[in-house]
Amino acid sequence: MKKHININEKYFRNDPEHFSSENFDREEKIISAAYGSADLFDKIKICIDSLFNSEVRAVYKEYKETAAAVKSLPKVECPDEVILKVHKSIEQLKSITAKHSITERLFSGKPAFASLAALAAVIGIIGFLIFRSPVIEQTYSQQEIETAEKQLRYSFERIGLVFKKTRSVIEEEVLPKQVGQPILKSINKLNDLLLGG
Amino acid sequence: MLQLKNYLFLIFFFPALLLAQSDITKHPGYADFGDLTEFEQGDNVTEVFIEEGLIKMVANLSKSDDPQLSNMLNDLKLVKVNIFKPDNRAGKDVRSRIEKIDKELIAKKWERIVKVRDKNEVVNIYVKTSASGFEGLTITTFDPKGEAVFVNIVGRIDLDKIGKLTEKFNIPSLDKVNQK
Repeated sequence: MKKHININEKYFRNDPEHFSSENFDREEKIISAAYGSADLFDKIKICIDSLFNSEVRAVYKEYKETAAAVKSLPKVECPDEVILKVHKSIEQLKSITAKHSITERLFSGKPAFASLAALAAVIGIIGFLIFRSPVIEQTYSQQEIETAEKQLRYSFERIGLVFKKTRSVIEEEVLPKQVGQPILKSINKLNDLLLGG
Repeated sequence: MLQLKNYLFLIFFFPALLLAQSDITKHPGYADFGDLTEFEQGDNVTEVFIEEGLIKMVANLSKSDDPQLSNMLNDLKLVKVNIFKPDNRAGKDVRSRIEKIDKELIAKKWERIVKVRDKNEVVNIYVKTSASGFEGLTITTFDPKGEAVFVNIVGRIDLDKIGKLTEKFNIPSLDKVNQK
């Protein structure tokens, strides 16, 4: 409902260099002040500007009149179909928002969340480096290393003994007694059968 | 923008992932023997627990004197050995512990390459294999007249390299074991 007046044309008709974003911003602020939606600081600024600048005063006055006219319009009841449409749109928006993943919620459009996430990531990496580095670069004394070497050699010796013993059990006990003897027995029986037949 | 979000997500969770991976107990070649201290009574107890950092130091130290040992140690992450002589009462419990470990390792897809039951003597040897080779070796033995031995070696184990160290460490050749 806000009426847009080409303030730039009004203001700077003879000074095209002033067609800048600053002037557009000022126009927005004048409109906001006129409609009563500007913050206190902007309102004061526009009021002061209008005191010293006749053009601003004129535009501000015009917008204020328009705003007053808009406000004075009688209230019309909103049609049901429009209300339904709005409700439908809100529901759709809710369902889309609910589908967003945690990551998207974390990092989308919320600078505060993004900053927090980045801060957490940095803390995490630094923490990891601090707590992990002693494990990687742990220093051992010469004596500790020599003891460890002896222990490793001893461990491998014991593994060797286990393998050696296992091999001797398999070769001397399992194979001759539990595999060789039944096979020999079977062959003897087969021989007996064949010779007997 | 979505890619940036993914990168941020990765950066955020990357340290946690790395910390999780650095836990040796999560390694597929790790075997959990449980608490063996209840059996480790008396003087005949040997306990060796050497982790990657110290193993690498030993590997570096022995590089010039014993390159074969150094080479083999470089790929290891943990050497864990428990040797003890249980008394008569504890013998039964040690056997049941070995059976429990056997079930757990088989459930975790370890390959039992040796299983010997000779009278009351037990010898079990397992290897954990992956596409790149052996990732773990576990040995559990129990001799009622002698000792109980629990060994777990975690890391890339090259049986050829161990075979070359046979003479040095009195280890019989393992060339008869098929290397995957």
